[in-house]
Amino acid sequence: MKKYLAVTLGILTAIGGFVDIGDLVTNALVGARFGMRLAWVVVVGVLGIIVFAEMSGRIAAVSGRATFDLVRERLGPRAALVGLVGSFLVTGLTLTAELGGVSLAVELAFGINYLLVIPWVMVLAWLVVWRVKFNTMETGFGLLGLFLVVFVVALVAAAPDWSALGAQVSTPRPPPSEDWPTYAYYAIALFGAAMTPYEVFFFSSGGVEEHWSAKDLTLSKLNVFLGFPLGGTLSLSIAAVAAVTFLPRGIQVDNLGQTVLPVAVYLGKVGLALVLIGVFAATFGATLETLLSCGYSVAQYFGWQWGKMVRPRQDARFHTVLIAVLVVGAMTLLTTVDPVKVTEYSVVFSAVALPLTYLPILIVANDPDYLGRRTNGPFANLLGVSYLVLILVASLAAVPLMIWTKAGQ
Amino acid sequence: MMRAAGLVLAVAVLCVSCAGPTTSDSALLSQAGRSAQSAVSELQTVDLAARTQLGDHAWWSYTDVVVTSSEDSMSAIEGTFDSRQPPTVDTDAVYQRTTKALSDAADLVTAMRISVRRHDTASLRRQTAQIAPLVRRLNRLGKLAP
Amino acid sequence: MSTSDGRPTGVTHAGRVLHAGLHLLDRQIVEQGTGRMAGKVDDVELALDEDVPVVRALLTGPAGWGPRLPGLLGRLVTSVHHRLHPAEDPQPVAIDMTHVVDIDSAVHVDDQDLGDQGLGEWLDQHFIGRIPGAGDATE
Repeated sequence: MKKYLAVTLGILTAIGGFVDIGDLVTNALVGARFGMRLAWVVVVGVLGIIVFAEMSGRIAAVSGRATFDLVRERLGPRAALVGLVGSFLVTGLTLTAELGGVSLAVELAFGINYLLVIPWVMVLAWLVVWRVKFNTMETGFGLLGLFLVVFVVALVAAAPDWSALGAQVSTPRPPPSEDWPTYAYYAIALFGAAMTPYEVFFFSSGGVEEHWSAKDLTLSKLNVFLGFPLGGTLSLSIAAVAAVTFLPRGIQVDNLGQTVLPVAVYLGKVGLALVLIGVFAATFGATLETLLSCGYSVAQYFGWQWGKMVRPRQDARFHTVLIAVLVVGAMTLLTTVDPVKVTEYSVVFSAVALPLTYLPILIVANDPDYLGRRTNGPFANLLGVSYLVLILVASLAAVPLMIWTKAGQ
Repeated sequence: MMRAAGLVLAVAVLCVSCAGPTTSDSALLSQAGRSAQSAVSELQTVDLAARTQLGDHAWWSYTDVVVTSSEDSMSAIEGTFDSRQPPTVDTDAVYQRTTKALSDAADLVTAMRISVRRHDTASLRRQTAQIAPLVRRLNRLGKLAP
Repeated sequence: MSTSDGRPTGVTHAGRVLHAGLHLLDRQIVEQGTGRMAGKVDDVELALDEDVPVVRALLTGPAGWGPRLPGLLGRLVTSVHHRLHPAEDPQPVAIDMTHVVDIDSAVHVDDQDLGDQGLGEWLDQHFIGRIPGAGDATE
């Protein structure tokens, strides 16, 4: 049993990358506006994160070094500091949004105003990173998050016109009611979400927390090849079920309540309960992932001791960062800013963070000092370089498109 | 040179943030269309949520959150459009029709929220029946948007 | 004396010559026995008395990192650190090269009870260390 559960790191990482609060709503929004015409972006994103997560997992297993450690080592303290600030802002904003997402899930389930729930979520998140074993946390939330598979069940229960959906998938252009700039904006938003830096920070640091060694290379690959396609599938099913339910009715999605409505429509109260458990677990898992990644990136930049693998007294600076980020995040939310909107603003900082995160990974994956004879083969390098080009293009286009389309209006 | 650019930018920002000066008839028509489309989206959402609740496929506190969310959105849509200034007499009629339709939509959603909080299925059923004609009205206005 | 522009300087270590910029600077320092992380190589100290400059010590800590940041930012960080540090003229923590055991993906040093300097120790004493459960390992 233990070895089947060993893939939960990959699943939890993927959850934070594909079905966190921002993605839950954005996927439904995209499905409701564009049908499945942006599905190809999710596929491209899944492949991209697989390529780089495999590299960073390999590096963590063979050399024991996590990703942000390498970023400074390869780019130097100045460029890496820019990358740190960018990633920290993206990850911190996302953490803020996830706290909101958990609170909203509780509100939908029990009717308690989400603002009242926020402080409790903050405390619970802190307790988990303070006391709960990394492995327990990873397994627990990784598995519970899989409840989101209920979206797939809802899609089947909706008995959609599969050939129509298929036709949309193979039409990579906007429908008549939308224009190309908006289509491109959402394509970049989905791609950026699939490849957010905190996924590789968390995955590689998690590998070190789990004491991976060179013997665990197969395990690392298994995590990657199972977790991310699963995350992508969940993403696509949320978009599909939204397309089937909302597109014909002219409903535009902008909140979590709407995102889960199709599940209630087709599967009733049982479905709704299951999906809300899944949403709670996914957003809480994403909370933990982004929270820890904030700590990992800062600590690894400065070379401080980090991780749940040592007593808090031994990595006081790491834990202080975690507490500070949690408190600032919760307070920001209490100003009643919309959690989903917060993730939109983080797109801006992603543009800076993405290239500065992935370039060092590609460089180190070719360095025998780190990987001995397990450096990249030509195929991995081809994919790596191609994706770096894509990432650069996306980074350059992100902010102008955001301004031009008023963030997709 | 830099200061002049900065001044121009500041003035531009200030202008953009003013409550809706609609500088042309077509701008008003297009805003009317967009507001109508947004209102349709909210009405259809509460329609679907209400039917799901009435079919016992959801629980009341969930439906409450969804309908209240739509109610807040409706009042924002109303507020955005009402602050528009119809530039000429020609567009007055459109302005009036749109404001009236948006107001009716907002009232209906509020009434439904009240029914949901009271768990009043009879009223909710009645109100749901009023949605379709209102959606048709708004769809006609919605065609004004590009 | 130190160099921070990564000019190639020879370091003889177990017979290997290293490029200080590539193989030393900004590497993680790890204590060999405990596996504890002890900062980054923020800077290096060179001995210039011989014909070939030799790395005498690794420098770590804010006093070593601050000066490597450009312009205003670097001066700001350094002056803040000077203010907060109890000593008159705080120097970076120096780890003599004789303590370096191995250099691979990290710089491994023998255990010399570096502990947490400065910020880490302060936070441990005044904040983190006071929260219940701080001394317990979760593994």
